[in-house]
Amino acid sequence: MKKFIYKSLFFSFLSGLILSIFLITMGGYIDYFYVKFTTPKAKSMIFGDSRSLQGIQPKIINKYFDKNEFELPMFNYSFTIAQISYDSLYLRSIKRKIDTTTKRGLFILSVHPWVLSERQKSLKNVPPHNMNCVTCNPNFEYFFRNLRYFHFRSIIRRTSKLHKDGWLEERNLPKDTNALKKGLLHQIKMYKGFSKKWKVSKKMLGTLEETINYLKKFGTVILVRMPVDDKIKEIENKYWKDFEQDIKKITNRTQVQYISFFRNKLKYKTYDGNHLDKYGGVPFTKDLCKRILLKK
Amino acid sequence: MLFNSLDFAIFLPIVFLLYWFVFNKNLKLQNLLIVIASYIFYGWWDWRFLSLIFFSTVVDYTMGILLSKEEKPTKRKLYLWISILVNLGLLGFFKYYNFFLENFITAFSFFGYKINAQGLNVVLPVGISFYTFQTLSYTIDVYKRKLKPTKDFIAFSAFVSFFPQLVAGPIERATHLLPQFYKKRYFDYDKAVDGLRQMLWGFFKKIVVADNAAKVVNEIFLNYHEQSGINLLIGIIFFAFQIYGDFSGYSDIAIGASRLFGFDLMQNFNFPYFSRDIAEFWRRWHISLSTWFRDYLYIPLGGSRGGTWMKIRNTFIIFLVSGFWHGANWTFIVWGGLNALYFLPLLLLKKNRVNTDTVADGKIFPSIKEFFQILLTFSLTVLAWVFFRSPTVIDAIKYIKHTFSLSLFSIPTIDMKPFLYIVFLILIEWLSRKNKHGLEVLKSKNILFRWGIYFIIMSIILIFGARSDSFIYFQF
Repeated sequence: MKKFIYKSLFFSFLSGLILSIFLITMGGYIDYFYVKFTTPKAKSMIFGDSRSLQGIQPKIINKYFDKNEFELPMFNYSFTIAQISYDSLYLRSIKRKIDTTTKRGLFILSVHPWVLSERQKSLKNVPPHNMNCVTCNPNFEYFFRNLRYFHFRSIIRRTSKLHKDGWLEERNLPKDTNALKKGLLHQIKMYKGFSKKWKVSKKMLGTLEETINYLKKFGTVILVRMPVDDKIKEIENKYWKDFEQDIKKITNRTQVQYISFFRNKLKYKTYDGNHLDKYGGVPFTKDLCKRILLKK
Repeated sequence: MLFNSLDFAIFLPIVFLLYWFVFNKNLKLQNLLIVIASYIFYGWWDWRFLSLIFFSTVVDYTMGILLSKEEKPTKRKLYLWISILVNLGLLGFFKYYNFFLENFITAFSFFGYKINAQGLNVVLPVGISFYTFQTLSYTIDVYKRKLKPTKDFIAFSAFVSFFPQLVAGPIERATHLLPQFYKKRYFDYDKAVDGLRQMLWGFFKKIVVADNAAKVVNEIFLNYHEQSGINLLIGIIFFAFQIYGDFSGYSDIAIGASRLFGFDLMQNFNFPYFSRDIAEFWRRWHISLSTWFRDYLYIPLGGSRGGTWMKIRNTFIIFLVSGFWHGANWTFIVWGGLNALYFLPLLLLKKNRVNTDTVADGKIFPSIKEFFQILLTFSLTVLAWVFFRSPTVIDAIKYIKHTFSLSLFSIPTIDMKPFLYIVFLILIEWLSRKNKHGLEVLKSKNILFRWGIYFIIMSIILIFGARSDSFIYFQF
């Protein structure tokens, strides 16, 4: 029996070691979120869903504000619409990830109707909400709790990479306009589905305000509405007509800035009318930085 | 609790450590631990199912005791029938009630009578067909005086609910498994290590072969009318390996896990796709069920001892009942009937026991004759699988019709990756075809080679494995 236990332990140790090396070196390729939970606490952060996860590139912000007064580097703590909304769960996770010694941080919150809506399904069992440790490397808690999110075979094709700064780089971009149209149609279908099932949440506007007030203690807070295709705009306007006014009311009360790219015609490259691709994200992040500087 | 879940990965080592380090001094306590662990394992799906298994246990335990005290044949028969009716009654209620009701309504409407009756909206308890048959084997064997009834309720409960094989077999005979609960178990290093090897191979078959094939198969069967003949043909071949990987994978994990606790379960699959005729296939596929039907249905009906008509009747009965056991749908009955048709010529020509040895024993490759025999047997089973997988008999016929169209000679447009995993599976199992499981050949290899293979298989599971929340045979 002793032999069995010792050998099992040694085998488990070896397996753990190989897995650790694998996760440390390949983590960014095999999971869209894993790396986010392996980096240290952050001084400046981006929050939101997949629009900001892919569209706002921290390295551009770090470069732009290099000599400015923000405490950088910037870290993208955005997830996807299937995982977050501005509720108390997200705020709890933000509190875990933020470096509370920060005084001059920059916090960008991407807002749109869907991240402020109530849905039927609880989000408590998905990352980041099911994670206690958000700074462990390697992060076995993530591995065991969220094994279903891993797509290990991507180590071969490497279709995406989650960078250490939290930005998700999608590398498998559509090759022709047909694929782009297909992507847009999929997004339209998805949002139409949401608008039927989800509900505008005044309560969540309250939690957003709470989140802003919490973040203000550590630096500058900016709310951003990112650009999307006209067809998606139409759905959002129909779903939540007074969204802009509602957000403005909050920013007025909390004395933070709101930058909306929503009204302008979409001039940045997306791969489905909803997500800026890695090329479109560069000018967008630069324009965002300019607008932040102007508002200061 | 699913074998391929984190819950089980935590559950198994805890039970293992408690079993060998805390409760090892007392056999009764060890058995009690098995019962508690098994009830937790089963209740993980739905705790309400526990009342059913407990009820079955109490009924069969009581009938066993009563049978031991009774000498009058009429009363003994009564106790046996109580057990049969209770067990099959539960099974019938949960599994077959709606089927019979629907067919009853259809039959009456055919003659112009309209019947308004409500079907039941109940969940089929996981694995009910498996443990029902296992407990039935106990009462029948006690009745036939092949087995002494147990007075140890804990041991009997452990036998009925033993968690590794509770929900998808192998369906153990009381004569084989129950006595193992009476004897003190000793930890056997080689047995435990080989058990882990067998589990690893089971996980490979389930997660890599079955679950990857399932993704393609589900898509094809859902839109079969839009698929080309070649896609449909590949789809059904993939299904043949999906169901094999899924079910034999489960059996390997179950048998391997049991060996960790010092138990021996019967072999449930013996490389069936290397069979040279249908009779051999049925000696190698779902062995615990085939032999159950052989011992408790075929032989009592007279087996193959009688005249030609009796042989034909008994063969059809056993295959049709076996089909019906799989599910309350005409597709399973047709599947059973088709297999009976395949089997019958061999039985009537007395060629059903020709191939009882291992194919190409001592050789690397099969002979040309053996190769074509294997191919023919596989093709026949694949044809029958279409009925097994299709939602209705009409769909199955249409599927076959679409397959044998001109588009059979076109280039496949489906994901062919599962094909690679299937080739790997065939290769390993061909090399191991004389053994009890795919990785038993590693036993005699040196540690570096062995561990290297383990890590490679674990990596393949991690990298190429697909995700599924169930095993096909849970529904049966």
